[in-house]
Amino acid sequence: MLGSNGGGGGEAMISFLAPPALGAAVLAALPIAIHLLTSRAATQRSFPALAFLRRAHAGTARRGRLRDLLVLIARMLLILALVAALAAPVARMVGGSGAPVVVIIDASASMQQRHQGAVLWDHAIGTAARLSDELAERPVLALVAGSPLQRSGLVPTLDRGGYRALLATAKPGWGAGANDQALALALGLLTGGGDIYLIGDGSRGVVSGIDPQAMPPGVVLHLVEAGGGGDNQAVRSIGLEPGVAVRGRPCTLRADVVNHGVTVVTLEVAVTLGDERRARTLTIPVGSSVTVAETFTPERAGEIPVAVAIVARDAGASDHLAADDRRDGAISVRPSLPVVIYSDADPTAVDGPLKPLLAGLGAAGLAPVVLRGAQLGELQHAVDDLAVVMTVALAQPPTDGRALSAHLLGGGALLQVLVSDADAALGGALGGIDPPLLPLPPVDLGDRRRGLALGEITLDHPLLDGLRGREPLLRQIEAWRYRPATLGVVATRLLAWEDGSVALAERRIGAGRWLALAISPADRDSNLAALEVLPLLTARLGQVLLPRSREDCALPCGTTVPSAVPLQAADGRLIPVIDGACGLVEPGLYRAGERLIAAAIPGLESDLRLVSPPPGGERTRISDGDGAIAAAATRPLWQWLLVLAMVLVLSESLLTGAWRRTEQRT
Amino acid sequence: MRVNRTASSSRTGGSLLSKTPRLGRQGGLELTARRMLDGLYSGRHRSAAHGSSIDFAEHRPYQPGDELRTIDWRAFARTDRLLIRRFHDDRQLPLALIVDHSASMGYGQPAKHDTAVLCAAALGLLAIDQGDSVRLLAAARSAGTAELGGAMGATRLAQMLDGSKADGAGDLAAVLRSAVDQLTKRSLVVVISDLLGELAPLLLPAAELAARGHELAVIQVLDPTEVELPAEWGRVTMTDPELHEQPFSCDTAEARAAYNQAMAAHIAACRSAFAGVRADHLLLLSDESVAQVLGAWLERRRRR
Repeated sequence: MLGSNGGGGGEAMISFLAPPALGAAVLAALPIAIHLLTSRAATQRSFPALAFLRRAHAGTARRGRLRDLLVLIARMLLILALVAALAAPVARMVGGSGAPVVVIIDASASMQQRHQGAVLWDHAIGTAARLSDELAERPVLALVAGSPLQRSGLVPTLDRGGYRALLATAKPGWGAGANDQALALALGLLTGGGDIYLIGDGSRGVVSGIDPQAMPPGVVLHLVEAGGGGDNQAVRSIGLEPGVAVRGRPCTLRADVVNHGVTVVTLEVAVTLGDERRARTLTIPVGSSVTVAETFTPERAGEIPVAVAIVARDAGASDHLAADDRRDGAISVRPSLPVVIYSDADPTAVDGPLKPLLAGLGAAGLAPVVLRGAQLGELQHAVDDLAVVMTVALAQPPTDGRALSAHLLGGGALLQVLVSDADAALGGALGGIDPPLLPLPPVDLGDRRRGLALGEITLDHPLLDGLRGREPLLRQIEAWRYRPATLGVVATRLLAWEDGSVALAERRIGAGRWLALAISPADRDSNLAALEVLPLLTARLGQVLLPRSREDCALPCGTTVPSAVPLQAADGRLIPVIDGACGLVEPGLYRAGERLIAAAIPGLESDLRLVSPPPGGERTRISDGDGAIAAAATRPLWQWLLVLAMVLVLSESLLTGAWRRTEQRT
Repeated sequence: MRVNRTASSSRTGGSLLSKTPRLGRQGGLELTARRMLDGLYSGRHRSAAHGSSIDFAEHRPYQPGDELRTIDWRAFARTDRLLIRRFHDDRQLPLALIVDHSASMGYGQPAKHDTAVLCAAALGLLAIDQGDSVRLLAAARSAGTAELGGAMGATRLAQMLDGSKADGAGDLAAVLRSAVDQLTKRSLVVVISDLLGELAPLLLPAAELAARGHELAVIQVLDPTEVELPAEWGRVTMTDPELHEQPFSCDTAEARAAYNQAMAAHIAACRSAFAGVRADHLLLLSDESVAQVLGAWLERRRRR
């Protein structure tokens, strides 16, 4: 169906989209048959005044015969018009030229589904080719909305060489597609008006990011559904809990298995971590998902592949996209959970600042390593090793804070306890990263009988969540020596003294966290240690400062990852490095030395169910492939036939009604 | 309903007699003539001739040969002229009944012919009851009857009417023409017909009858469906019972307006045409009560 830009001059050929309906044209003989039958069925009667009747009726009979003839013709034409309308007549414009056309082919993963025995992509390519043939007189450009976006030329052209070449070589991707980008590009090309044909599978992914109501004047968007809409079961995500796996410590692999079908299915699902494989049987209702969770204890450290796969399904289930039945991932198992305390205080001092920290970490089952403050500049652990770093009672601030900055930016955690002046100067040493607290010179309350109490306590933070119900204990905290501080620019206040200065603040830096505690933990400075509040706080650090879980151990297909070396796919192919990055085009595991990277189909692409596109304006039309091709260069005529039918009905009513009025008058 | 005749009743006319309203005896009605008629015998109707009644009519001069007893001597004494006294003569009212027996009269429920026969019988009996004579001029093929009167005359009249039936193509004009020859006395001629044929041929003998001193009355008997064509008949194919023409098909719903108009015009034309020859015209629908319609008509005539 063409819009207002549908083409220039040319001859129109009438054809029918449903020619079998024309067989009903024999119904046009119905009024004649009824007329003949009723006239033959007239009753016989003797009437003496027949001569009068014959004479009187002579005039009216002529008018009546004419009226009957007109009514008969009107009724026959009415039937013929309705039959013709049912046959869907169209006028095909031949020899004209018209506005440009952009054909966008959705190249997302869902286009690889099998539909009616064939891959849907092939159907879409065939539809695009036939569409080009139907629009032979109009300049056409093809866009394959995948990653990367491909185009048959710079602008729409009458030359079909580039168009056909692109259709011959284009392949669907495993990513989410780029229909929105392609549509934006098409709108940029059709500033003077034209038609856009978006060929997709009718699922949610096709119109994701597209507003059909936002078509500019002169541009008509045709959403062409090339099929699709089959049942599908898929592994939607694979996650890890806790977020950091440690050798010898249990971790749980979680995966969502979803049923995008119309029947309840029973699946056998295999969960694999390294060489260890476990199988589960799941029964999943229609349109919902089931989470499968298996707990493993890694026996070795390093990169370990994980996978969740549908290995069997009951006989009644059908699956139209097999590539999302398996989801790979990779987790990095650490040899231990590193907690490093940099301090120049005496670890054995009974009233020193280290004692409550060590007590709390020990209670959490963590074995911290205490290093001298001078070693902070080198950071004795790998940058990507998500360790917890604590600093307290430093003698000298580090001269080079780059290692500590990289630790935070890489997702690590830092607990900064402000005791010494060097502790206070640590924030300045990390140039470029604003600290959560901006400390001032320490205040010594001397021999006051009562120390400084806490004024503001925020317990909805995960770190303080363990202190719920112990607010009276927190109210008993008193400090006789503390370092007043103001809140940093992008930090969160957790505890504050009654004089308004901040006692505990947090700042998130990407995945990393920076906590600053302005309470002197030494016994002689406060009663923190005596109240065992500080051990409670540090005991939470192991769980809070490290990521609780990792949502998906695989990156979506179509993304690029920075890499200095080519990635090696599972089948041995090498993914070249382009501009310092490698593209993860297909799902699966990729290896870069010891490092493992997984790519997976986006979850949205697994949902093959047809959805109604968002309501569009009058410049958005929806059709299937055949309908779009049939309507591409044609104009429907059935509306005009219906108008004709209405006129005929009106005429017939007027003819018969006028007669009745004459009768009533007489 | 159509009259159910049996063979015996047809012979005696008893069936018709029993059904015929006795307008004179029961209704106190009287058949009168508007013109001076001349019956053979003395009767209750004033004749055009002068006779022996007690009603004085006029004087005329004496002529030789007049009876001397008719001279008005009192007038001679006053005027010194011989004048003869003349008196009116009361005679019978000769009634001539012409009933149309053509096939078209057999139409309707009850048939127009039955109504016509009943009407003729009622008028004939009324006349006989008044002591008048009745002549039945049935149709061209029938020579008609002599004057009927008295009890036997009533039975004879009933027999003749009861034995008639509507059949064939009647020629009412011919009957009227024959009436001109047959009726030698001034009579009241009552024509009972549906008048669906040509009107013009009837007018000439009707005018001739009037010119000869007869008084003419036409009772037009029609079926209600002939006056107003029923729309509910729908599409019908019609044939004329008298004229063997091609059947005619039409939808009565469509044709009724024009037909009704034409029939009304025809009835009006009949009334107007017969009024031109000083003839009464009475429209009698076959489903109407003969006694009521005739009673009203006779009453109107009497008042005139």
